[in-house]
Amino acid sequence: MSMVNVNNVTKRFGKFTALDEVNLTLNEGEVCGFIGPNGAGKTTTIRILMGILQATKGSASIFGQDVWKNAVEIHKRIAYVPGDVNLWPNLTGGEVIDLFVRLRRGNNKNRREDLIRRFDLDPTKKCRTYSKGNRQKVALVAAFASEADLYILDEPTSGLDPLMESVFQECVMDVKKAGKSVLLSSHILSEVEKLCDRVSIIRQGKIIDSGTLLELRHLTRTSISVKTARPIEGLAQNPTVHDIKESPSGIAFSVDTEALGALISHMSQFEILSLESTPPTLEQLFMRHYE
Amino acid sequence: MTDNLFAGSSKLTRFILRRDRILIIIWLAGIVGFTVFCGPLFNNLYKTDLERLVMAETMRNPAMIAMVGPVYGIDNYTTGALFSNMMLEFMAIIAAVMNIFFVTRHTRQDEESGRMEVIRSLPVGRLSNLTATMLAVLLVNVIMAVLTGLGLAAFGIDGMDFAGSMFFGGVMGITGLFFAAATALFCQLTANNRTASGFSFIFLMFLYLLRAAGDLGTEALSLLSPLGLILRAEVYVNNCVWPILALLGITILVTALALYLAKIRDLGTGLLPDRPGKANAARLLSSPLGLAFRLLKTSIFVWAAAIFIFAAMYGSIFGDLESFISSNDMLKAIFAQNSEFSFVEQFIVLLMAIMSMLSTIPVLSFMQRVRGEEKLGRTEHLLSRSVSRSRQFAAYFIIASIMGAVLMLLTALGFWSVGSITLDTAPSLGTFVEAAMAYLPAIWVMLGCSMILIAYLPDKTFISYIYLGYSFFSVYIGSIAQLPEWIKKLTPFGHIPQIPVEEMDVFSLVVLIVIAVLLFVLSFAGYSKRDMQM
Repeated sequence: MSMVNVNNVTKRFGKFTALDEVNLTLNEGEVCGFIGPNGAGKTTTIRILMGILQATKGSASIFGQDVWKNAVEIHKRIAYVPGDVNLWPNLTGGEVIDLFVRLRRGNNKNRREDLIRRFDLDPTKKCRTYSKGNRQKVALVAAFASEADLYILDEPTSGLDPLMESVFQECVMDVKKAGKSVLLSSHILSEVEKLCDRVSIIRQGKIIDSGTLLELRHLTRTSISVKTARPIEGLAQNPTVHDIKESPSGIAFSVDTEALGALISHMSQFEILSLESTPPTLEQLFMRHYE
Repeated sequence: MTDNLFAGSSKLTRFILRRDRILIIIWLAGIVGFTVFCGPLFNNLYKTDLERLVMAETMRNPAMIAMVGPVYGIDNYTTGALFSNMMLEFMAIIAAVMNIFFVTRHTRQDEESGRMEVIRSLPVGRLSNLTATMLAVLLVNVIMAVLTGLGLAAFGIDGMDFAGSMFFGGVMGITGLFFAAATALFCQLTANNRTASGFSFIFLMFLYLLRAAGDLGTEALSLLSPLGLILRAEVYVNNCVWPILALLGITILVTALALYLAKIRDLGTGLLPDRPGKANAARLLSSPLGLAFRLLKTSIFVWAAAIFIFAAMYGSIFGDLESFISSNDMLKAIFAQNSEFSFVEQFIVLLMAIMSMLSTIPVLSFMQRVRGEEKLGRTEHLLSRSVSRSRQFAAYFIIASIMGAVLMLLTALGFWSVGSITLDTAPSLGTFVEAAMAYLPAIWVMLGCSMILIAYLPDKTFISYIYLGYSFFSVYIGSIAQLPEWIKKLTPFGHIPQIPVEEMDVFSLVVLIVIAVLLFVLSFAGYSKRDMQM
């Protein structure tokens, strides 16, 4: 069953087109990474999903309900962390967490205390004194302390230190294990790689690629570093081979992943001494779209 | 070393002026335009010596003295003397308000939003921003003073000479500068923008009350208050320069103190300590309404106290009014035309109108908080939970609309509680409450206008304050200077029955309530349909 369904959504601000026919799906129990550079339209898409902005064209639904008309009903089952967490300067972190949890109903005191401890947050401090990371922790504690079926997280770790980032990853793993769905917008690719089943890449308001990491990797190049007894013939002429670099320790190049098998059988004629193959990182995947 | 503290000040000054050029022009055009426009207006309204003399007698009654200060030049009460008597105090206060807004905007507000950190990371000194703000404010006030002076002198009105006009502008400018300095000082003490501007406005109100108390009794109190001190310049009468110089001296001292405090404190902190707060939220804090109340709590109590004190202060002079009137044959003759009602009752009408418009300020600002929250991205937290737009909008609407009623009730109580002690035959509490509550529909229409702006023109919400400003001057000026009736009728406040002098006019009130409800409904519909805009 699809939890989130974005169907040809276009959003214009005056003459500026922020989103152009965006499609996005998230299935039950899935963690979906939503990646793209700053200003690509990640936050706009998420704000439309949260019913904060109205789509100019197209439709979007969560749990099969329209995100604009049934926002309040939908939000009872959603936990959300905005990208830019701005809090009330004269309220304490603890007060804000309580307010947020109460507004969704379903209060779980033990989980709140546990999360505050794990995220190492001082709930007695006024929000005015919190750093960006600490404000994000407030939003994260409020999100994970509430019972939800879907977690929508907009760049939730951009201000967290590595220690807190791993606490965050644990939290996502926990909700995933419990069968919940997560939409995680991020530009920290290692995090997406670690947590997500599927990835959608957005650029200038358009989804330019989406699928499982495996599928996406298939479309890209694998890095090979190889040493053979005799020089490999025909490598430079092979159209699937790119960026050849020779060094005393052997030869390094990248190859279109779909042609990997054919190339290896070709190379085996020249007596392979050592062979190292590295699958493309999400980073390379990502960069390829922006070259 | 000292160079380093101020490095880049002049560049920052230019940056501030560049950033606010439109805002500065609007403020200056409004203030200077209004002041200058009133010059020929007064000249036309009070043409003869006799007319002005009658006005002088009116101005000498305790209520007017409490409101605008003492009368100077009674022997030769020229248009200029009358003009400065009636206008100077209010124009100085408006200049003060502009300066308070300007200074908090460029100091505490920038600091709170983190913009200051970016500036401070550049090669600029620790005191450069405050210095630049003060320099920009100096320039703005000088321009305001000079333009006002030139504008008033330009009409060549008898009794409004060049020197006096420049003094008039100068007094407005120096008052503005003093409040800029005072605000800069408050900004060093408190750690956030809201408290800093709150302190500044309370300080302004306190100085006004101190001046009123001083002018009615001990003059020393008036001299302690800059708002009283400036009136001693006797603009257009004697043009005394010492009050301006004295206030300039004080302003320089206050500025120096603010700069010193800015030097010794850390960025983002105030000198008054921050207490640790609660780890858990109180029961109240579990709905949008609870949150709105929590956010506005301090303002609610400060405004309630201020309005009550104001009303009580006016109430305390009701007794003096009566004796003043009966001791003055000329005034007695004027008010004898309307002998059915006592002078106090006729005066309550004007005071009630002023208090109702004063009470509208918090009503509008509480409602506009909903927009402020939206701009700061905090509404998103609520709407992304199970809170609908209408519930969020209603939270502020409920508080704002009730606040209007509470403040008018406090006004009636303030007038009555103190007034009935000083008066032999005071109107009953019922009469005061009726007179006060008659203004509630007008306040609600103003609230409705502000809500419509929030719903349909979220970037133009300031228009509701302009409308309130218009209402104030059309009713205030309209009642002392017989302006055409339609000018008053353009504001809801011009349609309110003036109890106890007029009969209760149920029809007008019902029409106003219907208009208000219509505006409420339309604004709820609009707010529920539009995008949240940062």
